[in-house]
Amino acid sequence: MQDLQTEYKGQILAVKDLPTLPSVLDEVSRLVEDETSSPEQVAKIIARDQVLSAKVLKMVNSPIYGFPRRINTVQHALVLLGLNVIRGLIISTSVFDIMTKSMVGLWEHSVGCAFVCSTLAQSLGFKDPEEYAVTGLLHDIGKVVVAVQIPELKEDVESIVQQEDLSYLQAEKKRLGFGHDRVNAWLADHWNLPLTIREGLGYHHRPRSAQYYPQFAHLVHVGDFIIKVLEVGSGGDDQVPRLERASLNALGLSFKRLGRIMDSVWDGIFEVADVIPEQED
Amino acid sequence: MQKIDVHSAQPGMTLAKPVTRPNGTVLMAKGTELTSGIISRLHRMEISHIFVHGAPEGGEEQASSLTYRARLQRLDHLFRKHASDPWMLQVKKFFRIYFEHRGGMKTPSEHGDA
Repeated sequence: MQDLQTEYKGQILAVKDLPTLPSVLDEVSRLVEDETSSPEQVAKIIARDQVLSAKVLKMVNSPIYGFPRRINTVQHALVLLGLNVIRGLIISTSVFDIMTKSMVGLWEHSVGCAFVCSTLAQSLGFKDPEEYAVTGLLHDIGKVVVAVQIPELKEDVESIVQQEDLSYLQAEKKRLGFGHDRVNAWLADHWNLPLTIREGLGYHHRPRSAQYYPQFAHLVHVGDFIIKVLEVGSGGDDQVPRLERASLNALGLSFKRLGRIMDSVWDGIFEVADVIPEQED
Repeated sequence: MQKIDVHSAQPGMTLAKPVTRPNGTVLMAKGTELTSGIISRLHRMEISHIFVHGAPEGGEEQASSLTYRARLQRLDHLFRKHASDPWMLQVKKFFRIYFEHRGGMKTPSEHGDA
């Protein structure tokens, strides 16, 4: 099994060969490591790819981020949201681009989760709520990458979910030996995402294990739970995971406070459902 | 407010949200009252959905495609793996009360009405 796991990992991380992952992403990731690079340089690179720029601006102007005025240039977006958020947006829109039609539900689930995370972070007065939002957006990216790289695994996982009434995560562990949370952490390392986002991606199913930025893991854990209860989109199963009480405590969330935050979520979730790209009836 | 298919649009409805192009340009302002002329314009512009004032049939506002009542019934299903977990029963109760409250429903039954 160990050998098989290593083989899967290799196949999954051949992610740089993904057809739609823009070369821009590699260039931008390199610039991130270079301390002498400026936002102008990064903006110029992104702006070269017009389709990508349009997608990024569409996300930036969506209700997830709630900017009152339109953001028209990549450079402005970079200044407002920061490079890490923009890189997260590039990754999510590019990766989700290759998903099959059968995964539209996962995109809705992810966008919904991003919105809930953004609402939670803002209501709780956390610094940089955009970074929590993009972590919510990326929290299931491992599911998509596995499906794209090894399609037959996704089919197996789905049939285990159906036949054995397991959660998607349980089915992944049964079939692959690891879950999308592990894949998320590998991908975060591969793309050199900041530790904050990595903690949210890698530990949203077991937030108490997060070591460095537990509030990211706790917040995405709660955001994922809420969007599953609201059934906006689908994470691949139709059951809620166990909500960690420790996460509510860590975030200072009483039920009363959660109820008020739910009101904000409810009022905005309509518009968020509209962020779904190229949906034809 | 509800989201409806343009094919279900009727004269007399008012827009709860502006109609926009994908790039955000406003085509019709919020508050516009629909007339048959405006509805055929929406068709010509190939707009698929609009937001109008008022609640859908049954008097329940909806988010996504589920009504509050349907949501209450779904809770039992979604939480089925945690039926003997006191903490999760508490969490479920929180959401049940929340949905009841949002739906303005008066169903005090402790056992739900599944």
